[in-house]
Amino acid sequence: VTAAGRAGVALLSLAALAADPGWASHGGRDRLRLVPAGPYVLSAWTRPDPPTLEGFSVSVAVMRPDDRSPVLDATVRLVVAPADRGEPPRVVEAPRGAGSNRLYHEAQITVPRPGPWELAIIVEGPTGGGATVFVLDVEPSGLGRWLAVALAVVLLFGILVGLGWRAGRGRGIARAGAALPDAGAPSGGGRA
Amino acid sequence: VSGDPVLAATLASWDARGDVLVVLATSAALYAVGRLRLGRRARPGGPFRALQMCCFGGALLAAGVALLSPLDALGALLLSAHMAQHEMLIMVAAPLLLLADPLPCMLWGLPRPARRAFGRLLAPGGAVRGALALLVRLPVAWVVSLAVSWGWHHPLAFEAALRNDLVHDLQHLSMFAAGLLFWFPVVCPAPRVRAPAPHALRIVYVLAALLLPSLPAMTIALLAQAPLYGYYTAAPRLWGLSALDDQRAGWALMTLWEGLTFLAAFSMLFHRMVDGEERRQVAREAALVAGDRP
Repeated sequence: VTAAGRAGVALLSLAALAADPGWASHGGRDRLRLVPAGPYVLSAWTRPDPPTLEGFSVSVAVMRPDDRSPVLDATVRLVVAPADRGEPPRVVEAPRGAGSNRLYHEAQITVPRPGPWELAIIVEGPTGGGATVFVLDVEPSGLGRWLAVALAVVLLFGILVGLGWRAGRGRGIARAGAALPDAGAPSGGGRA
Repeated sequence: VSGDPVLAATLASWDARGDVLVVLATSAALYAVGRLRLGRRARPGGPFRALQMCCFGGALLAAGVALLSPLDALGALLLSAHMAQHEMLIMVAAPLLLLADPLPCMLWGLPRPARRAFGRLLAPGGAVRGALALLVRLPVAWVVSLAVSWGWHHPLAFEAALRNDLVHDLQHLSMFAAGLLFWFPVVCPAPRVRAPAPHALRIVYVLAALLLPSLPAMTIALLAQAPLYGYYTAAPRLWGLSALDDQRAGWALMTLWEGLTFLAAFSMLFHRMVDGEERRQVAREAALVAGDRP
């Protein structure tokens, strides 16, 4: 395997892993479970877990309280503010279908510093509006994901280098065998 | 679909995951290049059958449907959809991939040094081949594969996968690997690290997988009075399906899907066993007739 080939495979793997921020868009850590907000009930999930300064996504399901069927024509906004009120709050729109699950309202959020942050969810729909709040701790850095990417790349390099070394060793043994005067004759001895 | 906005939104929930697309595209490219290279060397009407190509395409399609289609998004809302996703990986993608016998083609799709290096890994006497030969023994494969796929159904493991995407990917990877391990001694593709077990033993292996785990699954499906996985109780309910009904539907779907797949495998193995016995009988009679001739 040539150096260019190894680098190509590693870059391809890195691109594949990095192409999908937040890993797969599936599930997430539940932050709200069926909490009333005006005429609706809300559930909310965040990804990745724990949320970090690199950013995180918030998915909100707006449901009717009687049968918990999804409400698709509501608008959802998130008001993000540090729990200590050290900075002015910021409003982020969470449109439905922004993520891969088109039944949820979703927003990508980045915050400038770690610590507890307050997220208010404001929902407005055909039958009225309401709001609810939850707090989440944002961690300084998301090393976990990049550590996993780095480990995968190192592992891949290790495998390829190992394979290359074995291949080179095999060629060396074959060359050494061919150079012997009685190469090919039955030796009756052990392995080289 | 236009009359049901929930269905329309669900069917639009595709997820073009870069990592999955790269793996599928790389596998398809390796297989295609390898098949072309081997096709040039093989005699006309050689060993590569169109059916194997169909199986390979079907395996990639099943994996794509499981991981990229709305089934994945739906799996976060309905346990039954999540079960269907797992069945697509274990009971469709894994056996189809083995039936395609893709290793020779995929090895020949690699550059020569890499192909030789992988070939050496699988050479007789190597550690990889030895480990594989141990893993695909019928009792070992049965216990390990079922332990992995059933272990993930414990509420702690299942909910961890739903809450953390990395764990969820690990769940899917390990379930697919468990599927490959389970079907390997049934299909016996390359690398042929040990002699195939007799058809009768393989039939017992499949029937044991059909009967033993299905009984507790059906019991759980029918008798559970509360949702096993609390995660789903916070999700929106689709089409009036309660969390408990969804759970029953999911376990019933899993049992039925696996039952039908195992029955199909049983039928194929039984057919091959009878076919082989008939051929042996014909050969014995031919030998007797030849022996009677002066």
